[in-house]
Amino acid sequence: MFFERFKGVFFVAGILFFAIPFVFMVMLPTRQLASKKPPSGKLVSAYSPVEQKGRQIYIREGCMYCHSQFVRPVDFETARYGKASQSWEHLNDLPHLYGTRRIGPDLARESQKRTDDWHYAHLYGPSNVVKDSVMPAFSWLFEGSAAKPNEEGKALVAYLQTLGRNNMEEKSESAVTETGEIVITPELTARGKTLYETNCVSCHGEKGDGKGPAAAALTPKPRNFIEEKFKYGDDVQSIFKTLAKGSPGTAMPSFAQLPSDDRRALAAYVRSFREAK
Amino acid sequence: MLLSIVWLVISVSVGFIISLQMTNPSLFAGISFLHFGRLRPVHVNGVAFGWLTNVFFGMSLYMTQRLCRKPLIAFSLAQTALPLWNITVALGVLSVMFGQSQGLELAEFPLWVDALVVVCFLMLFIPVIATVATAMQPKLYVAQWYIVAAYIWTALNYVMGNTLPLWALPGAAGANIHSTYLHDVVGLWVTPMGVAAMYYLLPLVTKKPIFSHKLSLIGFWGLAFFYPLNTAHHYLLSPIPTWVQVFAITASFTLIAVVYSVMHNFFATMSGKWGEIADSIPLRFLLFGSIFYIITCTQGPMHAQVFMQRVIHFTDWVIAHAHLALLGVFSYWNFAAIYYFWEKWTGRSLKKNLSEWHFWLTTLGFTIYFLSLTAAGLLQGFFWKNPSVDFMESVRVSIPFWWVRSFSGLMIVIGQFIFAYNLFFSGAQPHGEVKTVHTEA
Repeated sequence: MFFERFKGVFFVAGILFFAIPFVFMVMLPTRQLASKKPPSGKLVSAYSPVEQKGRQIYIREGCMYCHSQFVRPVDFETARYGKASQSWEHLNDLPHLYGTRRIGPDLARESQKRTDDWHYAHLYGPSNVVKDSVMPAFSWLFEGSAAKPNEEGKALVAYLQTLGRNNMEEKSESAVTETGEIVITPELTARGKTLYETNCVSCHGEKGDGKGPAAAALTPKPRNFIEEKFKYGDDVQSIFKTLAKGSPGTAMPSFAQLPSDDRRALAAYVRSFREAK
Repeated sequence: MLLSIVWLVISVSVGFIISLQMTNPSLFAGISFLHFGRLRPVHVNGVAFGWLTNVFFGMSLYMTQRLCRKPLIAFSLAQTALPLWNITVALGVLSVMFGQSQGLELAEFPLWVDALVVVCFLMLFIPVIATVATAMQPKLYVAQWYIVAAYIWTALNYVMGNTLPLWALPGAAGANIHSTYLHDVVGLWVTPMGVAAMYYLLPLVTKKPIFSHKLSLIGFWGLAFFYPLNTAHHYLLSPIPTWVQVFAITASFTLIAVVYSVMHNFFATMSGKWGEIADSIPLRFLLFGSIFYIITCTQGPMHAQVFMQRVIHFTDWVIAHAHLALLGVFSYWNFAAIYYFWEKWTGRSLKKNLSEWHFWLTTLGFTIYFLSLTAAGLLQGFFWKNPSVDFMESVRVSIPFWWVRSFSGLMIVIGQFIFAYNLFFSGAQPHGEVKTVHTEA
């Protein structure tokens, strides 16, 4: 029978059955994807030489084995990371870095979520910034301290800041800054303390004095809650808003991803440092 | 051929040590070429191209000569290719550790190593294909179908996977072709070569013919047709066009029929021979590999479904599944092959109690490994389902499971060391070494 002979096995199973999926499942979708242009008002930015270098470092260090770069159109995923990824966003990504495992979070919507300083502090000593992090420390991208990234460190962070820039979210500010009424109770403050220990101590320190383990890397320095003036006001409503928006020009990121109840508790606890003075 | 097996045992030991190192993130802190991101490709490529592929080369050269009843055409070409292949894989792995990765999983080797890979592969491809093509047999043996097809598929696949997604296809199109490459390495190289060894060994070990030739035909042609169509299932819910994903899901599901036809053949051939697994180490590895094969290939089509993907994708569940296939199935079948042929080829006699230790440490260790990562994967997936739970919670909850994984990984590693010790240092050496083997082969 033909199916048991060399010719059948080699030419039909071997070559033809490899060619069919290649045309049908690879080349056809490729043509379709190449024709998908960004919607009007959006464009696919090319990587600058520095960003491209950063991308090579991302590949060299194998970041894609632990961080994916696409958000799936699934409710709990868009709520955590942001908009679902569109194919046109990645038209300049060669090779693709979609990834298949999330030991750490997805990075598709990383652009401008955090400051460069935050990234330096984090890459230099991940567990200083994110408690219990299992990410390796990339000390060879720095000259001995988090405040001194070398060319490679700078390039990597420049690349990280591009992730998702082609399709930025227009943030509706009111949704995250709507304070509601904040009644400070001992329970609320206690809950805030727990949240503070996971989210804030690395920079602001356990005592709220701005001397957390990551503080050395940051310019400007993290706020000393006990003594220094608050840039955006030190009443509990203002602190809540700062938590939502972050502080542009510093390493203070937005914590809008936390539920507003958590941010109310955090604001209450941060406020308590001042009252204890 | 002996040389290839010498290398593969080194590869497996190194592969498993590396997998153990990866469980502790702060290990080797500050040494750029030893952190997780650089060692993971060493482990993955070491297992696929170092350990598994070496046995496949050795077995396929041997089986082809036996099944075609003639010596290999251009044997010296193949003979040169084997050590060259191992040098190439070692160079590839080192180049990735020292920063030359191409960035595509299982296609990390830089271009200059890719070129060497292709040259070595062709040096094996040509003798095997030429031998079969000129054998003038009215029909080929089942194992030979798989060997012939695997060689041509892999020649095409390796070139495709290491060029197009790097130079021509960006973003989603790149992910699509990359998943095709990646899954075809497993499905069109590792699977057919493993199944070929299984089809070859089973009648030898049980001294019975394969149960049904018709089922063999269905299994082979089903794999050939459906397997390469299912590969986009690695990126479900991604920006790859939906119709491609739907098609891949459907093709994935058909594989249940394909795999079950092969496995029915296996278990029907086993009938009446079950008592022998107590004494025969090769048969026991074949059988356990086949049980793991059924589990893997039932899991596979199930998690190619979207409702499963939503939760388990990106988690350790998938890592457990990959180990089930490459360690539980194909490494087990390779162990069976090595146990069966080692004494014949080398004239050494193996120690039964060491083989038992190897079997039980590997099997128990792997079972614990699989269960702990599957459980961790489920927890991670369900933690992520609630967007108000901080991502770090999914890491914290995994840590006890990762310790269990390290412990069971250690059992597997020790098992492999015992295996290597048994192969190389135990037993007498009645007659000469490498040369006799070549003449016999």
